[in-house]
Amino acid sequence: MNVLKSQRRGLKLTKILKGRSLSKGIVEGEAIVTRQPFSISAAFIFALVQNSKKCKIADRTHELYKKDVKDKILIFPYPIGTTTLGFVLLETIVRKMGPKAIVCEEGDPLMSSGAVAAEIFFDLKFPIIDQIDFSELEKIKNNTIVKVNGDEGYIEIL
Amino acid sequence: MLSKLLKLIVKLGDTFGAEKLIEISSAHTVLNFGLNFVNASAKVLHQMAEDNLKVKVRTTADPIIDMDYADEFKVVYPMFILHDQLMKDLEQIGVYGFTCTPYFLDNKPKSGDHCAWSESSAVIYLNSVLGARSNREGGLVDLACAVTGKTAYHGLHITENRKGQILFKLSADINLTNVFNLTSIGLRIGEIAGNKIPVIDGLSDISTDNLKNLGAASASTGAVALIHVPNVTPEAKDLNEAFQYDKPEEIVEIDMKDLEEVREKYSTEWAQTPQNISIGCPQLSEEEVINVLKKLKGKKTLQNINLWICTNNKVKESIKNSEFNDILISSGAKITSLCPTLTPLPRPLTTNSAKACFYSHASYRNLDECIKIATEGIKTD
Repeated sequence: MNVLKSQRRGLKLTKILKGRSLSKGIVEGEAIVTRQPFSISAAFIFALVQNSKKCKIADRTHELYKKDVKDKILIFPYPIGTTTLGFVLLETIVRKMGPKAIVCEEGDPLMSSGAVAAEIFFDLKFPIIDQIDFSELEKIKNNTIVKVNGDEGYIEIL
Repeated sequence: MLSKLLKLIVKLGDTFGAEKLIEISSAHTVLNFGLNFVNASAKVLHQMAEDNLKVKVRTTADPIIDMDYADEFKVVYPMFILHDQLMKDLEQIGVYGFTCTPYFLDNKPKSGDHCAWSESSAVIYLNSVLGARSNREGGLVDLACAVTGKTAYHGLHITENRKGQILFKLSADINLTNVFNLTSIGLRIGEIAGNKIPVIDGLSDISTDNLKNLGAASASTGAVALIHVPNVTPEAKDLNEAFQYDKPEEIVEIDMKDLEEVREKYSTEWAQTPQNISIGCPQLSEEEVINVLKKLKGKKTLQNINLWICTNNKVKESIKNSEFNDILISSGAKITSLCPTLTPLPRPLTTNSAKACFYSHASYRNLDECIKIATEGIKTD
């Protein structure tokens, strides 16, 4: 179960949600939260093919359709869709054109493989954290600044 | 390079609680035939080839460009900038096949075999129909497993993790002899099951080809990697065995209204007559191709429409040397080993495939309707 705790950061009280680290790295960014499971392949392939500077979601069945998730902390329940997602995620990490980190309730080895391969073969870090109850994650409002600590496996809502 | 590849398997295995590595008997990889979004993976593969690594087990790969149609695709093919290099490097390390249905070639693992496969539609077929065992690999892990001959022991390699979770019951108002209903059921099951293991009651007459098509749909709208169908799939002689003598976590009924809903949700409707119609995603079995050709007998595809019949190279050659070649030629349909989902076929596009409709923004029609549109066009009153 998640250990929920609060800590003082400067004068502000922040909230920490503990989960499992699927890949390393520490980043901060604006959250974008969806309750819908997320197909990384369907979402990112068009932006990759077009060499786009933005990362607009191309999955028209998704509520984030047409939203730009570049440099965001992308939060969803769990990944779905075809197995290309491993190297699609790897490519978005290497090109630095997608989100900065992913947080979900239940990740899988396929999604992790993209981030772990980025670290092993390209020396690039892209933190993914899972095993945080979605009932907690969905309380995070869009555009809230979130710190994702993939080294220790928690996120901090700033 | 080999140590880095092994590190990739071990790191993922550690995270997901694997206690050991196990030997695999087969692998299948996907590199989307060199579209410009596989640059990073292609670099790693190239290094593997340079280091003279070889696969240790039978390893196939997904479809590549079909050079028989180089003229039709002279605008599209240059997008596959990495195609030639990928092909060379894959062949160099010992990968062959180039189909999304390698089980129709000789990469057909036996029940209980441990494997490392990617290609969501192939993984679900391998686990469900063949009763072999693979997690949904990908992102270079499949190739890492192929050259090391090992994978991490977790997930679907472990018997207890193959237990059915959600029981799907089919309402009597669904006509199960209609393949279009079966693939639509697949779309609906994927949405509901997500990453859980569905058990479908009442499908005991489904063919393995149709289970292939249904499973591919569930693996598109969900992350389903294994479906049990009592009386059909090897780990489910009955409902009890499918649930490993436990109770379902959830029971869901699917009716005709659900199927109409998913069709509306996933089909992209075009006002104009399609330029391209693709049949088969996953690629068709030989029996499925013959079924399409029988329906095309005596008919002719309209001049401004391409009707693509997608299958593997072996079936393509076999059909061309069979009695059905006459129908193929007279109908004007085009048999191909290309992947209709990854080849950016000019729109409007129509397909009979639930998977292709999901990924390709195509209109979704049953096979008979696809053939009618191809040969008669869309009648507007």
